[in-house]
Amino acid sequence: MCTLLGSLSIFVIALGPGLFNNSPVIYKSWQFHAFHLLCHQDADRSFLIDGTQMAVCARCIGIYSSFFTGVILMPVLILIKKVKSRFYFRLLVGTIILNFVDVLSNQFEFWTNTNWSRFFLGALFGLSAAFLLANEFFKKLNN
Amino acid sequence: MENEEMKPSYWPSVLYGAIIIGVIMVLMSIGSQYMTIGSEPTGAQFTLPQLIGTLVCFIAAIGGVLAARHYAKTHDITFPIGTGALIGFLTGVVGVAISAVVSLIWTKVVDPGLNQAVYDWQVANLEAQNLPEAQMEMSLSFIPDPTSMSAFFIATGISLVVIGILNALTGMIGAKIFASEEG
Repeated sequence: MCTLLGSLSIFVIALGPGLFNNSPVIYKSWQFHAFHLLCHQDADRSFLIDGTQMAVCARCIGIYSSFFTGVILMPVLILIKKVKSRFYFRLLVGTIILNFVDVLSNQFEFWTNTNWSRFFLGALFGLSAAFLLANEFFKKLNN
Repeated sequence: MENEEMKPSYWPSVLYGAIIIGVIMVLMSIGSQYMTIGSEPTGAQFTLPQLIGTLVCFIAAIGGVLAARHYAKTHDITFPIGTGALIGFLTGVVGVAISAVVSLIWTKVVDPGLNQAVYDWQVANLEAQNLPEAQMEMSLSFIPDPTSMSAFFIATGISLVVIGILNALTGMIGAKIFASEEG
């Protein structure tokens, strides 16, 4: 329950002030300050809600939203298939490498990524992190 | 194996993770400020410090993993992910506190003119964008006052909570990877 609430609160804060329609200026919002040590918060690399920039970039919102989704999906995943931690650990490492390669390749102009490609790569990382934890929360179902 | 009776203290591991992320956050924060004032205010929206921020993005959240790993390896024990969450949360909170104290000492004692220099650079950068006067005044009003302590404490308080929760989540991941009985 703490994991669910924690991931939900992080996700909601990361969506920024546009969600509540109470601050059109992102730099004045507490949500923006909350993530200033965690994300570059570049306006060109962020999605908008109601015309207001989110508090984090597209990649980060992908991570937070998919981690929260993954936490919700944990019981379903366990019922469908027994979770093998080793597999999900490798998946997690793989998605970290994938994101790192994407950032560097874009930086050195091997390719140009978009907000949606950043979002999906971030989402892969968030989902794999949530799935890695799944069998810890549902040990009885998994055994 | 986990030993309920003689559980070793996790505080050395918390401090280990907190010092690492605290130092990284301070370097990111102060280093990017020096790079900012050392560069030409060209009016660009995406500046050098932001570029570095892209590469080190999310690094402040790894404290939980580091501390959980340190706790598991140092004492050769396994522990539930709830303990990992607690270790991660404390690591995040202490890390932010270390970062805030060092930043405060740096900007008040070591280099008291740094905040003002960054403020002046931001104003010069806005001027380089050749904005209409009304828009310029509005943009200026959004740049925080370099002498404001309340803004500093509010930002630190928010960071304590958010980075604490994030490190709790990464602490669980660290416990799962390095301290799970499943192997």
